[in-house]
Amino acid sequence: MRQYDASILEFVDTYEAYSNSIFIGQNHVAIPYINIGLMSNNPINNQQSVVDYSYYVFKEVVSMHLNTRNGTLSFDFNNNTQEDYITEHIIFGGYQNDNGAEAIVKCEALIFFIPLTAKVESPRHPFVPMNTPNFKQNISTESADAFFRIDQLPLEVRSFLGACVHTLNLK
Amino acid sequence: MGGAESKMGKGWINYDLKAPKGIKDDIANFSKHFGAASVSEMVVNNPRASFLAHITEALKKDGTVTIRGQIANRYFKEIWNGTAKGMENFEVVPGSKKTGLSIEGHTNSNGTQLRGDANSLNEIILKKKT
Repeated sequence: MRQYDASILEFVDTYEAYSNSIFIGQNHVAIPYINIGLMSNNPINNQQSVVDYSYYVFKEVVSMHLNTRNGTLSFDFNNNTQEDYITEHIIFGGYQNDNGAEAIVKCEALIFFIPLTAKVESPRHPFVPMNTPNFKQNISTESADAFFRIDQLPLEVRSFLGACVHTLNLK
Repeated sequence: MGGAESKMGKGWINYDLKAPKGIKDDIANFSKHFGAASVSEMVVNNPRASFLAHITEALKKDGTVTIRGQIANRYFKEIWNGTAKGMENFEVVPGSKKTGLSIEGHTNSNGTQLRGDANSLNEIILKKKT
């Protein structure tokens, strides 16, 4: 597993990625993503790309607001130790349901995890875990379902969350 | 740059990687299709690449670009925040920044509706510097 600090470069683009669950533990948040985007300033290959499987981790979260078509869901992490924090806008959801959210997360740092076996492609060849109006599915439902399960989180990501992990799904 | 199906109607040319009608090409090749100072107005919905540097030459003096998107879209955010590559050739039209516009009818590259608050679309108009 390779790990990159995404706090300053802002090279991670969740906009057209697919996710299913948010995992919360010890004031940290981890989201597994399929087809996450990398901006051209990324340290992995320095070109605009998409990744099949990866994880975006938010360290020492202060607050998280999920804005959906049906309303807003807000979390105050009561983590007042942070005086200086990052504000990150992400997209969440999109896998097997259309109730995704635009989320605003305030946190100390952003960490991007990419497995050593991950595939990195041009955005012209996206990774698609379900059939969509414009793209055919090219990642099996079994593989996607397994990837999004909590017991499939790699140790490097799981270690951030601790023993007591809360799971959030939008249905 | 209106996706597979542009909603702009007559008098507009859709330029998109997925355009069945119009020009189907990469934004990096924009100047191959449009000569210098030949375009007076552009509308870009939900950009999914850095594009300002590729269109500057083709825009007429005082030509405008209307860009719409959500802040979670990094390519839109860079323009909204004034940090996009090529931004130095444009100025923001005063009073043009709008927030709270409807996402209805706007789609992702995969054809599904944009995610998030129903009124989370933003708009900004840039004018080419003279």
